[in-house]
Amino acid sequence: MNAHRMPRAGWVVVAAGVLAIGWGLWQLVVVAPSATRPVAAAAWLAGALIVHDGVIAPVAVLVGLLLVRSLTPRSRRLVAVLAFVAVSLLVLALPGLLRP
Amino acid sequence: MIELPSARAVLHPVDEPFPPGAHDTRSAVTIGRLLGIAVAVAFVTGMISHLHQHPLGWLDLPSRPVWGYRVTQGLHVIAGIAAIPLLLAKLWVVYRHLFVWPPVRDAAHAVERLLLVPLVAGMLFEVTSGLLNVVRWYPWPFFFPRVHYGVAWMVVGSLAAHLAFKWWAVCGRIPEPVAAQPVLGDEPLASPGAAGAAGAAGAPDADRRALLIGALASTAAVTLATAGQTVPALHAISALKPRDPLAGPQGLAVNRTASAAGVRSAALDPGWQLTLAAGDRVTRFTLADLVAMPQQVARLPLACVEGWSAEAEWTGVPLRALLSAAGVPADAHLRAVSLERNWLYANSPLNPAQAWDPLTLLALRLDGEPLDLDHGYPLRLIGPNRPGVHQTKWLERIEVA
Repeated sequence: MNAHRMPRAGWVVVAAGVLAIGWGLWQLVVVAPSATRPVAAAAWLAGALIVHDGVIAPVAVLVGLLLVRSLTPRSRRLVAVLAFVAVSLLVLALPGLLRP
Repeated sequence: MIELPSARAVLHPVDEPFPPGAHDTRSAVTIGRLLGIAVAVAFVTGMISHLHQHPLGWLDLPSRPVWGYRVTQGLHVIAGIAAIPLLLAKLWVVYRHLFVWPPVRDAAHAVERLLLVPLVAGMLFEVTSGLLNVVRWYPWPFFFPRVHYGVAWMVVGSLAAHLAFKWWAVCGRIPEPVAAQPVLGDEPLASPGAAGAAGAAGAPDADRRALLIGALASTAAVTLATAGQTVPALHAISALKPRDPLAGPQGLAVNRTASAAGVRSAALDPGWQLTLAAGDRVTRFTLADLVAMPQQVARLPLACVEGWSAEAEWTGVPLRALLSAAGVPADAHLRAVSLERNWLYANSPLNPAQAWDPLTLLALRLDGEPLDLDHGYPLRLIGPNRPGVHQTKWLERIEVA
């Protein structure tokens, strides 16, 4: 595991990263809360995480399992590549289709 | 979607013996590098756009190159859209690590995992909110630009930390994958002899290649499908472009119509005048005055924050001609004021470089014809290297800020 350990200097980068996160949070929470609506923004951030990790990724895992069990490896890879392209284009088109 | 071991292997990942392939470190690094490029482009161009729209007092952006904002904002949306399939691929590759056991090994590991929360949530939020903004759909109560901006800083901050923690992998110091151990899943993971070398389940190279091909093909597909809203050469083939920049009155798209702005009667009023106010010096110009002045023709792009853009030929009076006639100081910051009221972007700022650029016009004509009412009749501002929302329409007044 030692080869995977971050060198000490890495903590400087982590600290800088935390500062940037803090700057973003300050912009979101303190600077103009009437415009950023921190509670709603937090709900959207958390919602994005929950929808992906709780719905989108498990569905992808299940679809992948179905492909693994029902296709030969070669055709599974082809189907997976094509499905990925199709889903990407669908994601792109959805806002335009669903917008009220 | 490309290579999946059994549910047991996914849900009980033991870091090292996981079968090499589409879910190993090499795959994560390959997709991560591509995603990192997209994020870097989107962040830098996003900050440029932020500086355009919210100028800092001490930093005046240049008025050139003419195509500056067209390119940076076009790239911003192209990179953001390209990041969608790359982000989905990346999260799919590393999803198993969400269930790593034990969840936290030590303090450093806790910090590393904690900082993944703003990274993943922030990335998902940025591409989602950006995509919805591109189609001008705002199903939230907050002001999109400010939240998109704040979350962008959270994303780059947590990404910097993530890259530091994963530096060994980013640099390519990835240990040779351990030989596949068909002990984790319900099914044999790698037995090259059984199914033929090229097509064996768990053939790690083939799975990684399929993952990379899928990610690249998806990225290419979403880019080609949308980039035509700003890249003329792709205009005809971008079937999913959110906006057609050439669809609108006089062959140019309109974001805000005169009706939506509530300026129809004021703009059509024959008594309309442009006021130039510099301190207590006030000069007024009728439409006939402006038409009688020397006209300049310039090909300038209209480039919107939503990533669409198109070039057109504008004819009008250079702003600098009016400024020098009225004796406006060369270092003054100006404000272009619209007939429109009560809209956040009704007025726009002009720094000295923009105000005095010979291509910054008070435009009367578009492609040789008088401006359509929806393009800002009787008079609009059009200048090089400016976001479309600052190309103020239905001008009423130019004043020293």
